[in-house]
Amino acid sequence: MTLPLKVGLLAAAVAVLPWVLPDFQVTLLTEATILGLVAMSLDLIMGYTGLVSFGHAAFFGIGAYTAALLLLRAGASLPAALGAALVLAAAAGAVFGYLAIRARGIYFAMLTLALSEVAYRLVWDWRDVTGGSDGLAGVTAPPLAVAGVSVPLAAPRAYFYVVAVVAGAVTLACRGIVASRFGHVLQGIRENEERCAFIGYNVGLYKLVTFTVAAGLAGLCGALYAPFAGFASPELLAFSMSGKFIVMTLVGGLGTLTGPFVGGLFVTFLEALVSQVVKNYIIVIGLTFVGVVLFLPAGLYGTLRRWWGRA
Amino acid sequence: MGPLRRFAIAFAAILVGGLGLMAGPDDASSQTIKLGVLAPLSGTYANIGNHEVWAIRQAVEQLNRKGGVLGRKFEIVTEDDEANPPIGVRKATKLIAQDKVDFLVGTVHSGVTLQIMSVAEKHKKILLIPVSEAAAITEENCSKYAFRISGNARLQANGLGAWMVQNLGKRYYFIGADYAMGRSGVATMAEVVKKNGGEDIGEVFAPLGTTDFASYLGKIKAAAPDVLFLTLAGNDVVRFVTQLDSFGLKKQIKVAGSPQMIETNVLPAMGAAADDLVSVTRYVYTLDRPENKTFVEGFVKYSNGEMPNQYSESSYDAIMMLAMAIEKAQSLEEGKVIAALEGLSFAAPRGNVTIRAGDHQTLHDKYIVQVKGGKYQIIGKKVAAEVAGPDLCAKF
Amino acid sequence: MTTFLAGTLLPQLLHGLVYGMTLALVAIGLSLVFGVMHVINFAHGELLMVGAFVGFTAHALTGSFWLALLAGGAAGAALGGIIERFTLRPLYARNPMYLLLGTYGLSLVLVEVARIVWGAVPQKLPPPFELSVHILGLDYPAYRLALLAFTSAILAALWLFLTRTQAGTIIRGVAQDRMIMEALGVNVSRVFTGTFALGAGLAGASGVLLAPLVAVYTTMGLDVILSAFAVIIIGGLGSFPGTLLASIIVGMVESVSTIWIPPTSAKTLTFIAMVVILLVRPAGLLGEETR
Repeated sequence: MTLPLKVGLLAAAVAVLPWVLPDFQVTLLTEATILGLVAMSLDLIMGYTGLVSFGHAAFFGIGAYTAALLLLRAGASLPAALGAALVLAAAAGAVFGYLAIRARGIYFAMLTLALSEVAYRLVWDWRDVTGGSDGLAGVTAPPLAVAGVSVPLAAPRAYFYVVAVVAGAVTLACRGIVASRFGHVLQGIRENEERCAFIGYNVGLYKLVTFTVAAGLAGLCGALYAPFAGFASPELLAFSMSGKFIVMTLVGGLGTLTGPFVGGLFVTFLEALVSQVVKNYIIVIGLTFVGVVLFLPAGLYGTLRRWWGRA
Repeated sequence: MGPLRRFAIAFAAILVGGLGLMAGPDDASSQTIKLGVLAPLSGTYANIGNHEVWAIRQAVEQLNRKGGVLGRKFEIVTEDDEANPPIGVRKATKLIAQDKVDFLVGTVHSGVTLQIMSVAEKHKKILLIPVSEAAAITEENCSKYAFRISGNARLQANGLGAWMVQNLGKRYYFIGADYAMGRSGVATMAEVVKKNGGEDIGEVFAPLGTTDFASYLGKIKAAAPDVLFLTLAGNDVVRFVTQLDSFGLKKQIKVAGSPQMIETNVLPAMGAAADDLVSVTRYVYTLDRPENKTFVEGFVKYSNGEMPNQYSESSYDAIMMLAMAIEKAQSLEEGKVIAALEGLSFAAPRGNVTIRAGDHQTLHDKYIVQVKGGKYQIIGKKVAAEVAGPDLCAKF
Repeated sequence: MTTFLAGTLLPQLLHGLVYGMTLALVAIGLSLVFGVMHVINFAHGELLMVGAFVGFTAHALTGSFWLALLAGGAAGAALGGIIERFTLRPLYARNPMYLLLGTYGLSLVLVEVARIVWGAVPQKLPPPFELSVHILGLDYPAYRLALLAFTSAILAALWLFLTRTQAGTIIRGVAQDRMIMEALGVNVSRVFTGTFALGAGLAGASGVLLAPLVAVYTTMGLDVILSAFAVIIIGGLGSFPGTLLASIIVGMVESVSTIWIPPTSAKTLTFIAMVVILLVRPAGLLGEETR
């Protein structure tokens, strides 16, 4: 199956899906996609560059708040809100990255944790702007003016398409980065950072750029999330949220891009099943995570792909 | 290609199966009236959530014994919102979109309530609010679809404020839970206190789930107020009052608070620490009314002996009033039920209750109570008209 | 001025000292495990929580706080030993990232297991005595002062164990240089298991000691772990005196600053300090500049 055919089939499936599935599943799939994309962006940092970041949710949250504020207070259009969120989150990523690359190993991880904790607390304390613990409510995506026609975006089906389009763009961007020379250097850093530096690469700069890009993408997803959920709240930046993204990325499969995305789908779907079949879904997720760490480091998708390849 | 194809089929099957599983058994049995109940059943507000759920069960079973309404019985689907807004929104959406409930009831945490009000309005479902007290719910964030059966921080302030300034002291320090309810409670009370000649010498807010209040107590002691007014709830208020007492601060400062401070779900845990605490409430279980006696008798069967409080009472009222409205409207259609609910009066266990049409806030009498030896002493009463406050809802 | 000093500053300093010591109590097990095994145990908070719940059950059955303390510590140690042997040991040979993530995953599982076993409603564990002592113009709960004593005793006992016993010396040796110890014939794997169990036992015991102050609930580990991380980083990873010093400083600063700023903002200061230390002097206040 050639690539264009595969992509075409996927696009057709995506286009048809919201007409075939009931509204609730469409909404669920939309949420899973948004979170899966964040996991994918985290894969750039964790899977490809080999760095553990405990603060990725900070960028997601910054993006969500940026979009929420622009949509609520400035009457911005959705594309404008998305763009602003991407830029602001990327800027935050640049700051975090600049500070974080000064540290190595465990210190790097703790620094990402500390920085995101500070961000979380600042959002909580800055009540006048962020609404503090109550967050910002009533966020909706306004209709988009396309060639003179006003297209409503708020309905589940319409928003699903918006998210699908952005997902396509983000996926292309990530794949492009990873396949490029830049991406190869990242993997070199992951394999052996010192050797890479010896060869002459400015390792710090590569890490910084990766951080910035991944942060921007996470912020973009945050901006998609705010009008989807209808609010932005401090929990979006909390350590537990960062942990959730790490779980998605790892369970899916580090270094595969698709894996973390699948991980996002997996975790979100599992959460939704809670009252129906699995009452204690978190323990399933937790055990899967530990299982993956111990036995399946390639992740669920990564392992599946290996079997597929062998078959 | 064999194993590969098998894998592809298995994978696709899992995906489709998973999605399909979530569709659940489509409820073609629209012979029942489905109520989606949202309550915090874990964490610091769990004891309040329990009261909500027990009373709703009591009301539903009472109605079903009489055959329900319009020939249909009630069915309850409950979800735990963990007093966490994002989770509350997800659960509310699930109740509406997946369980296809006819009406939504909930919840306790004002932050969650404010968010699920948007969800209910988006899906055009009526939401009955049995516990949350933040003023914004019926003021700047009011919604045509939301009806607040509980009280309102402003009503509480109107009920207690003037009395406090006359009887307890002039210098006030405030401590509240750091979210909508706590802040609303403090803001509205501070306003009334000042209007009556009192002084607001300081305010501090503690995040939900704060366990060690030592620093807060230090600040309060340093400010040396006459009266400490608090708007904490659930386990937080138990810890705070206990710690307040163990630091001996009750000897120097009079303590008053929003009703969450003294309700039956927290009073036993506080023991002697709760003595002399003053509050205002719309309900005490010792009220001498026939409606109340039957309510209390029934309630203790659902609560393992725990006495009802204003949360359980409002939750009970919410269901009874919904049933009355459906009966009056002779329909389940949202527009008709909304019209029936507006202005509806009900002889509730707490007294006569009326839903004000302008902002969907219930109006009721308030009692000023003081705790002595684990029991409530009613030391004052304000009738509904006195405490009502203006209709500040501009959206409908 | 004197009323400010006596009425406001001194009490806050006392609060700070007590709070700082509770931080030290929680963090010491974490510090020990890192010092010896170079692992930051993300499940430390949950070991504390399980210890607290076991203690609660023990207290419910026997009415004795001291038995609860013993039970909590023992449960923590046992659980820690099992976790180390079966989930962490396979990971030592691999990329250290997996060790970090492994302990994080365990923390998720433990919270849920606790919820299934003990339920989601917070429980009360009363202190062994409810008296108040009159100092500095206020009634101070005697239990909080007792915590100062308990923590000091535990720290002293730990110090003595590490410096005066053979087992302790071996542990310190492994912390300094694993390979030489192995060459000397020490079973390093067993030392690791023992150390982790000790750290976990300390966590469990601290859970029971803290419970009268904060209650027993499934997320109590999450509530303290971030502050514990801050304290071991600020003090210096692997340094005991560092952890103790940092705990007291953090406790005092957070407490005293609440005179002027809200308590939630005071906590933000701690994490800003954590960031600053990591950037300026990663070895912390008293740590060694090795990595």
